[in-house]
Amino acid sequence: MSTIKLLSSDNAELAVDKEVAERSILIKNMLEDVGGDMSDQAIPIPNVNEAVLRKVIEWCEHHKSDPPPPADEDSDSRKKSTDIEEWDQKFMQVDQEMLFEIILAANYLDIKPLLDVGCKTVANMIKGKSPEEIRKTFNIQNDFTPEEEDQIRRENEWAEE
Amino acid sequence: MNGKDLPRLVATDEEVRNKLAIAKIPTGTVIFLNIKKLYFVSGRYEPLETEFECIIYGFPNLEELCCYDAENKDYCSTHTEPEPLLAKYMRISQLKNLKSVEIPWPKLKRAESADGSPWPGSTSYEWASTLDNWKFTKHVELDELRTWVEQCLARRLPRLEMIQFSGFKRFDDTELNARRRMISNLFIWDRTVATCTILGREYNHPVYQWDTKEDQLWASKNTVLVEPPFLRLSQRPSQKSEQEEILQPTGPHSVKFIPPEIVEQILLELPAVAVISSCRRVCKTWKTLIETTPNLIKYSTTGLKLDEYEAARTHPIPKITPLALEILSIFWKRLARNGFIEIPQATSASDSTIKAKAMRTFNRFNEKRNRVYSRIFHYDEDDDPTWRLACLITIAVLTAPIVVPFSYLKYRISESIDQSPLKPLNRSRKKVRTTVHNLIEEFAPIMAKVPLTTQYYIVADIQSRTNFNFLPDFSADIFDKNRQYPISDSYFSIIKALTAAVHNCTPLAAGNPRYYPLTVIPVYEFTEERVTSTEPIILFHLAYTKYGEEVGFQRLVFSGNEPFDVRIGNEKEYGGMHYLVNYYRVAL
Repeated sequence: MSTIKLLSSDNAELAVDKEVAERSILIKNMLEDVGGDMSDQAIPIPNVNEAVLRKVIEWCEHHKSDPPPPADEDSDSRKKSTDIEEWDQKFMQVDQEMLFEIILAANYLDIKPLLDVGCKTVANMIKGKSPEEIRKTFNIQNDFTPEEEDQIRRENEWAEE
Repeated sequence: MNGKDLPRLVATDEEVRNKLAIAKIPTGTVIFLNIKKLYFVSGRYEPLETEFECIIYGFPNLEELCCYDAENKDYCSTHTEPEPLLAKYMRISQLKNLKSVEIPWPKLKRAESADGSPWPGSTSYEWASTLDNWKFTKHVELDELRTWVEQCLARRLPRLEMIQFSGFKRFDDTELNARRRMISNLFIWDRTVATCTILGREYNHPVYQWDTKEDQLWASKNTVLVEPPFLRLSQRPSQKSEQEEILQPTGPHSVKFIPPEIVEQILLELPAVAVISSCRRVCKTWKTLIETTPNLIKYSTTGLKLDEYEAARTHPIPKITPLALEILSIFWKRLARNGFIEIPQATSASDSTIKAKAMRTFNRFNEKRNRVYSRIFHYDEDDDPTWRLACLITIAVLTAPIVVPFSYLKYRISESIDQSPLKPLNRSRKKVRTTVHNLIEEFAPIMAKVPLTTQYYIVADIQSRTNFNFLPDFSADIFDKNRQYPISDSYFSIIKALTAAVHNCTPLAAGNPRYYPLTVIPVYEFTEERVTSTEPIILFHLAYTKYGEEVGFQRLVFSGNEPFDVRIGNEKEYGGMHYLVNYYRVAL
């Protein structure tokens, strides 16, 4: 099996099986563009650092034999996958910064399933939380004026039990 | 020319906002401060008024604006009068940084008239003269118009270098490729977006018919689809830009910048109620995102992601939207807690008087019921039964669940109070009624925003003078022992709100499949022994009929350990429903 090299933003060179790397649609398309022969040259991944790239590769390794997503994306497959696989859950047990780095990397590298898992993980962190708790979790500043906040709160009164 | 002395058409932000408000365009629309060049691909002819508004509001720092037409060769305006046309063009002058602008020819379609004047009926040619010292002759020619537009724009826009009028405009290959390269490069490698393309609102076709496969790919991947006022960028916003400040939730120790489309994806994984209530309150960015991105708008009004929603809409069988279910559920829970039941302190033994009362009430309702239903059937033969049926069905859906199961449950609970964790509140009817009305008022706005089903049945025009006299037997006695008018204003308003919501979403266009309310069939066998307070207590069977034949159905079950959870029933439950107190079959 052929191996290709990836170059992270902090200039670390990582060797990966071609099959594994091709979980990334970005890399896959790039390899197709250049005719598939990249054995002597590392592909630069300028937006992803080594630690994150390793993590992403780890995920790709584990999922390399997953069946490709169905061509018809609107089918039921997405609805069924509301839960996160156990392995993925463990994989996502990282600190928050890493979690977002992984999501951004998945977005950049165009690895849809990984992006989905990441988004679901974050969604689970939000679930059941109050606005204040969400802000704390994500370090978001409350930029509403008290009046605006009151207005939205009133609009949502019905949802409070 | 000295532009300073001329009156200006510039609207301040406030003015623009007011206009948007009048046009019912939500404020909080995303603003792209960083976009300098905009291709606007309109569906036909020149951009619409609202589209101009949208551009001006959403892209205040534009330096280049190119309005293209996607498919019409004869690309020009079709106004029959100069005034609205020119007013429209003059909106461009609100973009103060414009250096270059490409707009359709200001050609006017001439209406034929008896006296040979080009625009019969237009009395306001003087409009222009008050504005720019320009006088139209009655037979204004194309060149004249063009000059006028040029001059007006040039006077108002100090930095303007180029005005180009395009007509018969098609992209040639070179231009197309150049643009494609530019955008895709930016998209993939640079993360800096300075250009975006917008497809206008009337443009309903599959994204631009390019000649080659590759081109199509580009179009669908990188084109920004915009339906005013919902602006959305599919490209990444640049990392260090003003735009970031707008789109990014920042805090002193903010986590890394998360692009809005990822925040969107995260929000789409959450329950719709959480998105509307909690997430919308987090920060302005999230609020704007939730209220402006097409996916999230639909999601937060139906609980269905956009693609699922669209699929459901085109499906011949309407579906009850998940969010409507959730809201009903919350409504019921709150109603239960405030009006009827105390949870969870189970204390004393059963109160025989409550039981007796509930029993009496319930029996009385049972007696009435037969009569009412026969009446409903009777209305089928009436001259114009549609609106009445619609009323009855709506009332059945909206008020009967409130009335029937609560009475029944109250009776049930009082009977089996020892086993039940619930305790009936021994409140006066007046109090209960007030509670119900207050809750209904509180819920009316949200219910008005949330469609009950993905497709809608026709409802009659219910007006305040609608005669409800035939209704007292329906369920009034349960609530109203004073024999007051059973349909109160707030009931009425919620019925109206919901029917309006249901009504408004599908415009009455020819050729749409329609679902007419046909019949309300009661099934009311039940065996008392088999029902406990935690079993399903009511089911609404919503049957969708088309040309008299049932094409599908859905069932709502109000049940569970939380007795007021509403959910969609499954086949098994349906089979066991015979013993339930009430099973309405409501044909839509």
